[in-house]
Order: sequence, then C-alpha cells, then structure tokens
Amino acid sequence: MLKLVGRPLAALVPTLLVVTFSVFLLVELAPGDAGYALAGENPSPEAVEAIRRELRLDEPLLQRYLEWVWHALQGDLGRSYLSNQPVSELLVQRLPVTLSLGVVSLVLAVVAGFALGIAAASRPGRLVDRVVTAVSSVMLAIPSFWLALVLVLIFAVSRTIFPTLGYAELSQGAGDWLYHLTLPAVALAMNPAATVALQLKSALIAEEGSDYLMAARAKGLTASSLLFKHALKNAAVPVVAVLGFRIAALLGGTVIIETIFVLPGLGLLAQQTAINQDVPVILGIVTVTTLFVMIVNIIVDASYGLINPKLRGAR
Amino acid sequence: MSLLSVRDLSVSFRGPGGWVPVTDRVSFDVEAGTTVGLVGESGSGKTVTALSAMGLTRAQGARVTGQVLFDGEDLSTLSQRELSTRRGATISMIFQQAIRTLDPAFTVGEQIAESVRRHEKVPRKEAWRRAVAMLDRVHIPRAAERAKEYPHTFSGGMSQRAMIAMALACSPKLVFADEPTTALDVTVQARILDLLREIQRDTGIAVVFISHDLGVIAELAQQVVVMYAGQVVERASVEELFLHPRHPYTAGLLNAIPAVGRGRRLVSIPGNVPAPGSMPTGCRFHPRCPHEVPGRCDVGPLDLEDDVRCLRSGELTLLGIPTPTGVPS
Ligand SMILES: Nc1ncnc2c1ncn2[C@@H]1O[C@H](COP(=O)(O)OP(=O)(O)OP(=O)(O)O)[C@@H](O)[C@H]1O
Ligand code: SF4
Ligand SMILES: [Mg+2]
Repeated sequence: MLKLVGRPLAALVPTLLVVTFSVFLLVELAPGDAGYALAGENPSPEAVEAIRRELRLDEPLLQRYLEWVWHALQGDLGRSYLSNQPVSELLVQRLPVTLSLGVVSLVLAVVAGFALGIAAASRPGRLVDRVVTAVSSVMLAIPSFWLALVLVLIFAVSRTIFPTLGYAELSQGAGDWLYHLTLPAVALAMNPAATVALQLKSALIAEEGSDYLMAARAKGLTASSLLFKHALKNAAVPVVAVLGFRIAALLGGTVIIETIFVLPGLGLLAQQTAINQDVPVILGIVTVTTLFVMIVNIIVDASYGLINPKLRGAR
Repeated sequence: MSLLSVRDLSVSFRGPGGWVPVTDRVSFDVEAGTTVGLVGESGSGKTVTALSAMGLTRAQGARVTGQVLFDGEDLSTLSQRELSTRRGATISMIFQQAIRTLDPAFTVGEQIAESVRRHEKVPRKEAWRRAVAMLDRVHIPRAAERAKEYPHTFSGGMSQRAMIAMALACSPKLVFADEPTTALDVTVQARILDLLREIQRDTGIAVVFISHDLGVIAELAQQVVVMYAGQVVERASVEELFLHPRHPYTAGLLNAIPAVGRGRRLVSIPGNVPAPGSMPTGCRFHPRCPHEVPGRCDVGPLDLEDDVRCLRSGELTLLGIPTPTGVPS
C-alpha cells in the first residue's frame, strides 16, 4: 500500500514546480500584462508604469517566481491584483463549489455509467444494449457546454423544475444544494457516464466467455452473482483506470459549466482572472487544481491496485 | 440403477449458417464410486459432453437433446435455476486450465467458501473454515494462509489442487475431471492423479475422467468410453479395451500411448478429427481407418451396436497392448 502511494507523492513537488513555473512563463509571454488590465480605459503610459512598479512586474521573472515559491511554501499565496483579497481566502471561498460540482457529477457519472453498462451487457445484442450503445455514442459526441446550454434553454423557459443559476451552500441544506447542482452536474457527467457505460459494457462482454465464469457457473453460482460479483469485479479494473483519466477532464470542464450556470467556483474564478492576468490568483488556482488532480490520481491508482490483486505485490 | 446415465445426448451450437451438430447421441453410464474414462482426440466432443451433462452448454445457448439421468432425476428437464442448486453440490467439474478457471479477482479461500455458502446455509466463518480444511485436504501447505492469497500466486499444480478443493467442497457424488493434468508437467501430473485416487478412496465419489491419453485413463478408470468426431465409438472395461480393442480408432489410440521402455514404436493416427458440420458419410472414421472398405464403410448410417461402432468389428482382429502396470484389477 505504501509503495502504491509513496512514489506518486514524491513526484508531487517537482510536478507542482514545473506547472507553476510554466504558468509564470506563459503569462509573461502573453501580450499585455496586469498593468494594462488594471489601469482602466485609455491609461497614460505613466499610470501603467506606476502600477507595474507597484506590482513589481519590472523585476526579473526568475526572482519573482522564486519569491512566489518561497511565500507559497509558508502558506502565503499573495493577494489578488484586482481585489487585493488574499488568494488563499478566495480559494477557500470558491473551492467548495467546484468540489461539490465535481463530486456530484462524478457520483452521477459512476452510477449512471455502471447502471447503463450492466444493463447493456446483461442482454448483449438486444434492445437494451442497442439503445444504451446508441445513446452513449450520441452522448460522447455532444460537448458538455452544448448540453449545458440546452438545459439552460429548457429550464429557463419552465423554471419551476430546476434552477439554472447560482449556488446554495451545503450548510444551508443538502436539498437546496443538490437542487442547484443538478443541471450543471448532469451536463458535466454526461461524457464520463457515456464513457463508463461503453467501457464497462465491452469489459463485461469480454469477461463473458472466460473460463473462470464457466467454473463459477459449474459450482452452482446464480446468473446474478456471476455478473454482479465475478464479472463486474474483473471488468471494473479497466473502467476505474478510464475514470481516473476522466477526473482531470471533468475538472477542466467545470470552467465552462460554472460560467454557464454562474456557479461561483474555481472555474468561474479562473475564467475571470485569466482575462485580467491576475497572476497570483491564476497561480493559486493552478496550484490547487494540480494538487487535486494528482491526489485523485494517487487515489485512483491505489484503488486500481485494490481491485486488481496482481498489481499489489508487483509495484 | 446407475448414478449417472447419459442417454442419446446430442449437442448443436449455433453457427453462421444454422445449427451445427457437435455431438451425436452420446450414451454411457457411471456407477456410484467408480471411474469412467472418456477418451478421444482433441475436438472429439469430450468437454462438450461433460458440460452438457451439467446443463452448462444450454446456458451458453446450445441446443441439447437426450437425457441425463443423475441421482434419480433427469437433469435435462431442469431449468438453469434448478440446475444451479445441483451443480457444485451433487455434481461437479474440474477443468483443464486451473489457473484460468480460478477468478483472478478473489482469494482462493473465498472462491471455495462461496461454493459452500451457496449450497449449505452456513455462516461465513464456518464456510471459510471449510475452505481452509478443503485446501488442507488437497495437501496445500499452510492452507490457512494460502486461502487468503490470490490465484496468481499459485503454481499450476497448486491451482489445480485448489480447483479440486473448490469442486469437491460440498462432497458431490460425481465429478467430471476434464483433462485436469494435461497442462501440468509429468511429476506434478502424477501427484494430482494420486490425489484424485486418494480422494476417491476416502469419499467414494464417482469420477468421469476425461483425457486424450489412454495411458492416463488406464491408471484411474475401470470403464472406458471412446469418443470420435462427436460419437461414442467403443465402450468397454479397461482390461477388455486394452487387450481386445474392437474399434480401429481404439487400436490407434492404444498405439499412440506414450510410454517409456515398452519397446514399441509410437504411432499416432494419421489425419485429423473432422470438423463439426463437415462429417464424413457412413463411418466417421473411414477417411483415417486402415481397415476401411470403400463402398461399405463410407455409406449409410452407422449405429453403436453391442458397444462398438464399426461395421467390420466382427471380422477384424485388432492388436491390443498389455494394460500398463498399476491398473486397478
Ligand atoms: N461453445 C461452442 N460453440 C461452438 N462450437 C463449440 C463450442 N464448444 C465446443 N465446440 C466445438 O465442439 C467440438 C468438440 O469440442 P470439445 O471441446 O468437446 O472437444 P474435446 O474432445 O474436449 O477436445 P480437447 O481435447 O481439445 O479438449 C469442437 O469442434 C469445438 O470446436
Ligand atoms: S466401419 Fe470401416 S472405416 Fe469405420 S472403423 Fe470400421 S473398418 Fe474402419
Ligand atoms: Mg476438452
């Protein structure tokens, strides 16, 4: 277990350094800077220069980066150029929204994906299978933002069913929280759900003819324990791996989904700050999401090892 | 009445152009506590016959006709649900590739205990204890620890022992052993055969031992059923079959027994088993038979008469071999 987790944990620090430095470089290379963004309309060159000096943008890139790292190590991520709010405070405000959206979408994707995949695999070639396969293929082809817009259009006309705007905190009641997250989560979950359904279906069908299932049937197991216990546990191995990849993509998807549904999460924040080149906030978001994705990957890897006993001793 | 009586068991699988018959009216009996050897080259329908007797090819979508009278009931009339309460409980099967027939995702102990829980309403703890006892019974060292391990940590011989433990955990009355030693090397093979003999002596279980090697069959079985191209071609006791084979195919198999120091040249039968769906007319063995008479052997249907399926069995004198040492007499 320690082996499974130890190595990726060690890779965390260098990865974070590479990612944050790349962001520093990219912002530097992008045309314009925060000086222009903050100086208002038709600024005088002097005003821009003053802001730059204030933000110490005139100092060498490497020096500014090392300073940022030094402070970050002490838990200080700096202040927003725009609002002067501490970045850590901003993140603490926004993170729960994105996490909520991510978790609800993921649960939805797993539940729907497994249900559809199992339904299709239990009657291969029959109507259920064909419907699931067709629907999943269509779902894969539709971009999530497009579905989000359609959902907004539908539910903006007849508002009574689900809200299409805003967020309610979990502390104010799980019902309201879920109620506000339903549509964005549906939009975000559609792609991974379809992937899981198709992957699980083909993985289950691939297990179908295997010798261990024949032997399990020969010892008297019922069709349902063959499918739900034996075939499913074996088929879940590749599906969990795919799901792991999907989590990073899902996080990327929150940017656009949060924007469409005006959910005040990290995604919406990222979208706003990127326009204004609010470097400390961008770096804060990048650091948090990189950390998050890497930790999720470690968890996925570990659970992969748990359901696939061959990997436990091997790594 | 016999413990198992397979009567006219015919199996067809769905092919691209319709149903393809794979076995044709296979019949044989197994008495309680005895071992019957089912022998034939690869593709002759041995596995299909065993699987079908347990209703397992029906579960795959095969078309099966005939009767399987076992322990006082006709298994061929039972539903899959009813069959599942007999499988593993009173009638069981050991497979050729033990490593592939253990589920890689569960511990060996769990797979044995699962079978116990399925057929006997015992608590989990008790089922686990039984699983460990079974592993011990098949001489797996450190059974209590090994039970907690996954199949990939088991060697070929050890997996086969575990497979035997799994199949016999609920003390069935009959077990099909489908080439349980073919995938193993010779010394391990001998030990597994010893184990089967020992278990049979202690429990009185009936065994249908499937093999393509008459030499191995002679070590275990009292009766032999020879299959060729989906049909039974000869049935006899081991001694009869070895000393006085009545079917040219049986004589061919006897010649092919690999044995050191017998001073005979190993002769394998030329040609191959015909594929299902393209069976020769008349006697299915005629394209490969050294005694074939054109115009006689290759026409008309040919039935099993007096335990042999050969038109010329009355007129031929076929060469047998002495039964290998160690044959139970
Ligand atoms: N599920 C199936 N679908 C279609 N054909 C099958 C199926 N199972 C077996 N067959 C065919 O039935 C024939 C008999 O196969 P079977 O496995 O019973 O032979 P066998 O005597 O056990 O041979 P071996 O010694 O190789 O195990 C073969 O031609 C095989 O291709
Ligand atoms: S019937 Fe003819 S071809 Fe067939 S086994 Fe007998 S002798 Fe050979
Ligand atoms: Mg076989």
